[in-house]
Amino acid sequence: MNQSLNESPYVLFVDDDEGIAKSMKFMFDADKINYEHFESGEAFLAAIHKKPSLLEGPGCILLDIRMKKISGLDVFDELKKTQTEFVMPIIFMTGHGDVPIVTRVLKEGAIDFLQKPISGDELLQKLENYFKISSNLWVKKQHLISVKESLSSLTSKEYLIMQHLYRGESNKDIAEQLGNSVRTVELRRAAIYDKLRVKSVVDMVRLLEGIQL
Amino acid sequence: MRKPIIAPKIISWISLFAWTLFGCLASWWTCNYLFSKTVEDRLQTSAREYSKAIKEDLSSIETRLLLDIAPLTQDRNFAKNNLNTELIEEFPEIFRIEVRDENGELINQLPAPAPSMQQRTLDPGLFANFSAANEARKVIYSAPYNNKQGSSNNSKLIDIFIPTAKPSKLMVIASIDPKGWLSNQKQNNSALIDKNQYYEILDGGFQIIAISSLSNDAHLGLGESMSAIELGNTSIFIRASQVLNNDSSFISVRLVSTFLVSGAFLLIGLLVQSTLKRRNTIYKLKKLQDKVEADSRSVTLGEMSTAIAHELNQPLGAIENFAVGCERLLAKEKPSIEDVLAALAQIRQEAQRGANVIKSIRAFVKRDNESQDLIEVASVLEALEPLLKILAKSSNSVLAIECKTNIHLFTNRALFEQVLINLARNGLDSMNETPLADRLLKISATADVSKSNTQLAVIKISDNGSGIHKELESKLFTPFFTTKPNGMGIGLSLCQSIIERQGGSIDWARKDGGGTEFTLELPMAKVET
Repeated sequence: MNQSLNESPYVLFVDDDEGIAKSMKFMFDADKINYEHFESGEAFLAAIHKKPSLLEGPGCILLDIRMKKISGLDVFDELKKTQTEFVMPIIFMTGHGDVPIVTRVLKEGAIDFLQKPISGDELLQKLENYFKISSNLWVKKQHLISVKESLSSLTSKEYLIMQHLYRGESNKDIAEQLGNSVRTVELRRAAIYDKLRVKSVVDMVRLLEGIQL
Repeated sequence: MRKPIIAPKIISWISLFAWTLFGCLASWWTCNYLFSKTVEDRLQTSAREYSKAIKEDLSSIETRLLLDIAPLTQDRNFAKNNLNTELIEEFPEIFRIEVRDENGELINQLPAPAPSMQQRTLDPGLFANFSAANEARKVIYSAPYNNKQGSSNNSKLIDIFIPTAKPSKLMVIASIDPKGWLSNQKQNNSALIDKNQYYEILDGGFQIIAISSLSNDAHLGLGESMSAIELGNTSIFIRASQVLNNDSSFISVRLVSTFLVSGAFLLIGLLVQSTLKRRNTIYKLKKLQDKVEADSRSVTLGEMSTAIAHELNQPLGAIENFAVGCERLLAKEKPSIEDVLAALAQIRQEAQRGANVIKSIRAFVKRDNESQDLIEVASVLEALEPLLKILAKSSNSVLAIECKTNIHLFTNRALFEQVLINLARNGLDSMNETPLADRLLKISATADVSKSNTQLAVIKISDNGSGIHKELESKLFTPFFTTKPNGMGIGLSLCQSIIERQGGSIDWARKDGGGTEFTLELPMAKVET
């Protein structure tokens, strides 16, 4: 993974109203927020189908509920099919009288909603807030990805020894259990440290914390 | 002696009145003659003649006044009206028109009153007649009920109360005495005529069913005072009723007679209060219809409120965003004025957009449903498009309008729009279950020629909705029948009545592959180019 950890967040916003879209773009420009606008639900789904990395974040997704043909709700349902957790929080933009819809989407993983007419300040504030949350999520996710990558570079024997080390066993114990010489275990341990880019067992345990081995 | 039958209270007094007026001057000695057969004959003949003449005068004046008042909207213009002036010239001194407000305050008067005669408010009796005429929307005649002190010349006139176009605002009173019979009567106080004599004097068509005598200070009930004429201190008040013509409607006749003791047979006022019952009924029906139509328009808007709110929220949200953007830009060290100006231009545009939404709604609600105008279907649809679009958008549908230009109708625009909106809404509602990609509402207008060779405007409104259930077909145009949970069941029946009133027809058909198509056929108006 070559991306730097503090990659700047962006907004994906889907709204079919030209006036709203223009004004949001203007506001985002003025506030130096990166964004990408999609003029319909279809356009958005097509774009993420073509380029799934769009959803990697960090950032936010702003979804208008009332749109022609494919509504924000349909887009949300579609997103749920491919994603289990959203690095990019989804904020719905709703009109008057959409309360039942809002309750539903909030239960199903959308993080927030804004009622129209949307207050620009509120939106920007929320974005700032969710950008932070999203960035944290993103960092964690990147970490997870890189650790998993490192783990996959271990050979099966190294992986086995890594599991024993993780449980806090000494070189000698491991050698005995696996029928290897202590020297071999030591060599493999050095290789493991090298591949996982850690210097000690403590580092390794910390790195692998929360990862299913 | 015939035994008088006690008349049941006549239930409704409608409008056409004929006052039959019969006057004759006689001295005390002729009064004696009156009881003899010859005089009676003479009296009968002259009574008929007089009543005929007066009836004619009254009805012509009434017609002219009504003609005048129908378009009356501004009290001040009323007085300037030519017709009124003519009437007054025709009957100088005895013809007077007053326009008053709902409190009986004099607004205007023709001819201009002499300074001393300026009387601001009406006495209670006249005021009651005023209100009654306006509320019942019918012409009411009355002769003022005078107290013992006798009466001035003025009060002997018969007052006509003509309802005005704006019942709550204006009333009109016209006092007439075309031949001067009433105002020229002498007053005398003496003997009474025997009730029986009246039967003979009356025109053959009327049967007297009740007779009552009023002493000079008897108070007439409101209903009675409306039609009673009292000229002397003693009057006899007769109520009569009769079945007229073939339509077997009750014509009530009020007969008021005063006998002056001098022996002069002063007056028989015959108040035929039958009337253009029809006219009034039609008028009431029309009012009701107008109300339903206006209500249904408000209901339409009420139901559309969510969609409208959404439509207004868009520009409002955009304005807010631009404003926030501007603030942020201006807070920078070197703000780009061009960017801010561009945003301000956008704000203006969005504000305009919001205003347009409101304008189109107002235009829809405000339109009157009386006038018949030459309208072009394409331009009506164009004006209606924003509203239709709001509707289509709220049900996630696409609206397509295909309209040939130069299709003209001579119709009421408000009602025509109402029909289009109703049908469009039905179509949109029926597509609730339709897949989003298929939700298309199509409105088209073309010209066609009917079998009888008349030019027809054919307007089709088609949807891809769930269609009309077979069992419901027969009830489709029935009022108050609805399948919508919050519907009133007025839409389609209203459409039908509106279209048929304009000489058109409404029909519907199932579309292949689901959905319904409504077709309106209306006679096209010829336009000279």
